Amino acid sequence: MNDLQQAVHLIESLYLPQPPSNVNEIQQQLQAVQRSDHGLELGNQLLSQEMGSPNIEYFGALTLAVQFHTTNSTEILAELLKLNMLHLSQRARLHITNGRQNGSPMLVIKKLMSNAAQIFFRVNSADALNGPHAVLEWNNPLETFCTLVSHPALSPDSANEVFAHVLSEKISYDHLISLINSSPDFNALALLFSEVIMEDLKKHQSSKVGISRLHGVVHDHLYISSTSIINYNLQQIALAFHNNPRERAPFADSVFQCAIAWVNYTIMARSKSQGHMDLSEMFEILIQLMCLHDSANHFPFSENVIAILGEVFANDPTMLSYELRSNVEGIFLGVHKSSDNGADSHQWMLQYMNHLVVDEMYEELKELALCVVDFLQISNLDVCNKLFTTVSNGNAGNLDQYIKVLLQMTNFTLTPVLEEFFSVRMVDFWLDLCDGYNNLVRDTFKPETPELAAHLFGQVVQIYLPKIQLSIKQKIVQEGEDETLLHEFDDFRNAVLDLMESMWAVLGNEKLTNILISSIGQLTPSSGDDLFQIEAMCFCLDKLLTDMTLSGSPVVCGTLEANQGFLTNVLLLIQTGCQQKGASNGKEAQILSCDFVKTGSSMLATAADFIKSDSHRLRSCMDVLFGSLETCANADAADSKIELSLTRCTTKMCETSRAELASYLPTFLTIQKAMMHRSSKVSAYTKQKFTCCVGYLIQDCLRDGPARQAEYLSRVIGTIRNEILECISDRDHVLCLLHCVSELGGALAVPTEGADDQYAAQLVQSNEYWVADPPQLRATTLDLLERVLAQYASDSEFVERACLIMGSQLAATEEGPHFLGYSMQELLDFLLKRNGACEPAVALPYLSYLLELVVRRYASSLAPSDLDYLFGEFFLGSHRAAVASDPDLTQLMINFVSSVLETRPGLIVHGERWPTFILPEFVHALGVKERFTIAAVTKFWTKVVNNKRFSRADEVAVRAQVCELGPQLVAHTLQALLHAQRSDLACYSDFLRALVARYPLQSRQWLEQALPELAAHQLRAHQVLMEKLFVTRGSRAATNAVLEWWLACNGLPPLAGATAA
Amino acid sequence: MSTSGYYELYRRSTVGATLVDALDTLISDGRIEASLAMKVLGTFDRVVAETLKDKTQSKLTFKGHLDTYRFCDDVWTFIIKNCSVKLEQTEDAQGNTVVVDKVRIVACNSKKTGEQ
Repeated sequence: MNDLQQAVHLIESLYLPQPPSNVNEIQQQLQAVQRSDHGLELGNQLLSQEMGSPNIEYFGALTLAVQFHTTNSTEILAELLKLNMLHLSQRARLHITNGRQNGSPMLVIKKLMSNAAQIFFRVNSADALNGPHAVLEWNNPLETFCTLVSHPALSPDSANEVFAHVLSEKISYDHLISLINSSPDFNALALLFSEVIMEDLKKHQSSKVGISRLHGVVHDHLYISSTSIINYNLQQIALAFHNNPRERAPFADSVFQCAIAWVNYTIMARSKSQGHMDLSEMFEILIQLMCLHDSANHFPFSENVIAILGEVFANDPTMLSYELRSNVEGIFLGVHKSSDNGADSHQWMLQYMNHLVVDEMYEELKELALCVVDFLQISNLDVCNKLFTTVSNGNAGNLDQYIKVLLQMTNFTLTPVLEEFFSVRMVDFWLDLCDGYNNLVRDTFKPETPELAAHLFGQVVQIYLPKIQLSIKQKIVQEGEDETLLHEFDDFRNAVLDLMESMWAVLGNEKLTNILISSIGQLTPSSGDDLFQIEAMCFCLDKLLTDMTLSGSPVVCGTLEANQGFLTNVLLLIQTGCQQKGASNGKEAQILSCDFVKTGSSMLATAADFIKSDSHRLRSCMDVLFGSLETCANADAADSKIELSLTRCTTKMCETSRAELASYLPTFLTIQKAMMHRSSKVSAYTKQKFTCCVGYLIQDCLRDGPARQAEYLSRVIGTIRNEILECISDRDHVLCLLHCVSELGGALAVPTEGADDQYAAQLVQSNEYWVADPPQLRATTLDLLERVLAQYASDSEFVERACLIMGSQLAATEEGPHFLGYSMQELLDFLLKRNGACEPAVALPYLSYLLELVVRRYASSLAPSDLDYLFGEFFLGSHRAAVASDPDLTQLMINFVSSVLETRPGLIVHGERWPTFILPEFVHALGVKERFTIAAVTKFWTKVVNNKRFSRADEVAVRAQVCELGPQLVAHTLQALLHAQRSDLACYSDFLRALVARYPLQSRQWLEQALPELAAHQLRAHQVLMEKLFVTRGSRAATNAVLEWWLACNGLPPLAGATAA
Repeated sequence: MSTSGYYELYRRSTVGATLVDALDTLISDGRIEASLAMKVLGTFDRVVAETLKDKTQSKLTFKGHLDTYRFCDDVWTFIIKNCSVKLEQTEDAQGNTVVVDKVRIVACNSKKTGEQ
């Protein structure tokens, strides 16, 4: 494509509102030219077009960028630099002379500026120092730009001559200022160019290592001229304001944008560059601008400056000198924590906050809060030391005043989250201060410190309790705000919980837990506000009590006991929530109801240990829980949530108070029976958990002998069985009922704690009883499962549930009597029967799970021949083809063998299948492509070469086998490794590390033999891998050695020099 | 708007490792240059860090036995055994606690050193 007109035509067609059908072809054609040797010429011609359209101009600038990225030639780079700067300056001159109407669009100018920035970075990169571009020297693009734009004799003919001089030409400060003063547009373009360079440099640095030379050049040249322009402009803004407070300087936004670009760059470069870039002068003027306001309380620059300062305080507050920070402290707080300097400018802060509050500018108020609290966090440790220790002496009076201001700020009068953010952000401050206090060495305390800390944090508690009340949530809902604010409020409440937990370490039970309990107990709710108070206190108290064992805290229990109203009020939360949850009460009431019930029920569950100690108390709670559950019918989302909270609470109460709730068992059984019916409206979760509750109570009947247990269990199992057989075609209902059996099985497991003598005496008798199983519950349950599976054998959820029920006792942490304690023979019969009729992909995973449990529990009763048989039945035999072709099943088989290796390796390694099938097949499995299979097979081989459970005989046998297989094993591993994806390498390297450690002499030979056969041309990489593998110890180092080898063999770029973490 | 360099630790996450695998394949097939892959990964580091900072609200709490802790090169590492992880913002879920044998927490400084 040599014809310029043709190129122009194609470019214009690209940007048509409806591009032609061959747009991809056009793009490829144009891209080919952009990358070709003619690209530079094309870019120049497109940018030189008189009356060229913006599209053509932009494409020209883009073509120069493509040439820059594809070239490595110094000549072309020099030519690019010249062309780009000449076109940029020409357009800038036009822009300044004719204004925006007739000049190039700003998009083209910005693209040319960005091109210039990229060229500047490359010319000054560390590589360039010794590379081909070393002959080029370009230190200050901004001065070059200013010189070219202001040059009187710049014409196409004189361009070459002029450009030869300008690259190294320096401009004095006065000249620079006179240039930007010559035209507002000149000034704006200079600021824009400086901003573009900084923005691009920020992006550029993330992909480059070692650009300190570039930072050095920026520090020595660009920084000086740019800050001169920015500071001058900032002063001009202040001057313009003093001349006419009503009119904001038109260039103000450009200046602030440029300033923030420089601040961001400086934050980033400070840790990477040698030179110190001090922006103090800029900050000083910025702070002055922040405090400017007119008589009508108009604050033209405060928001801009607060955004900049907020960025600094959040990222690198030390950019502001101590004096400047002290100045800011005076402005923000009106008091200095360590000096008596006056703080007159605080008046501005008060007026500004007042202005934001009165005019309801809540977003701006939030920005201010973020900035102020980030600022406070800087000196948090200092405040902590000054306040609480003798290590650093502050002015006591000032410090008191300082803390008072912080407390006032926390207690901001507006609604948190919705209107103000000070209290929200101050949570972090108080949390840090409290953690700081908790970590202080007690020896450094002042005598009054504990009292002072308790007083201070006591006030913080008092401030936050009303701020986390649900009345705020109510307001947010009433305002019709979106869900984000509701989530923010929930986050705020949770953050306050963390704070409460931390403050508990200072205040203890005496000054926090007990006070919350008595405050809840003493309230006699007469209005919604009282309920909101109770809820907020319960919300905090629940968190504090969750980590406490109430039975071991007599003082707290005593306080609970003494405050009779406590439980009444907690129950009131649940009752109110349930009364208000109806959809007819509106969305607002429904949201609050869920929170009321959630807090109340969670509090009850946490206090279950206390509640159970008094039967009257326990009865009131259970009555409320039953009554409330009765109102739930899964009518809507709120109703379901409430039912969930109540069910959780009931389950916890039953688990904790098994003996105390014994008299409730008949009631529970009646309710549970009703729930099992298909027509019951309660959720499946409630049905299952209620059966679990029944199970807890039945489990405790063991005290009265197993016959009592059997009687109740027969009733429950009978109910479920009848219901299943009646509705066997209702899949979901039947599945839910099977879940109930499974929950019952889980609940009947013997608890790990709480066994007394009477209970222990029953265990032996009960064990014998359940082995004999007079009521035939095992047979009944098994028969039920068989009947269900006869209908749903191909449904994986049913097979899963059946296996879980059969393994109920095996999965329990404690061994003990269990009505579902199937013998090994019963379990194997069930498994073999199911295995014979199953679809492997659907059922084998669950059968294998149960088989693993059986092998683990009865390992000592099995012989290698038994395992050979089982392995053959489940993974070979009729399933062989399915297991071989389905990676999930292959993985399952490998994991089963690995689990035997972890339990009793002798069972498998002395079997017949070990040498004939497992070892050879699992060597081949090393080459699979599926990630989870790779993880399984490499774990298997790692266990084979390094297994602490091996007996002497196992070790001898396996060692001989590995030595024989070694060359093949290593060759397969390396072959698989070479073709694996990078993310799978760690699996192989862990195995190689284990092999090298356990078979050092042999593995060296195997590797030396296998590596050259894989990639003969990578001998150096092979040698490095061998050297590293044999000296490295850590897993990470071994993985890195393997990765380097893998990268070299696959022709991929080597690892980057530095990794951040 | 963070201005510092970005950590590469998220490349080891599932999404990061998958991206690296995809880029490896593209380079091996000659469809992209290695330098472009580096640029993509640099962008990934930045975007993940910014997204996790600005656009996530979920919180989780965990409780367990602190088996190992160390602080090296400004990186905290904690290994917690028998850990129960409680996920917040999932109140609809019926069981929101996950119990795991071992959790490894790697925590890097989001701000620069020498700030306080």
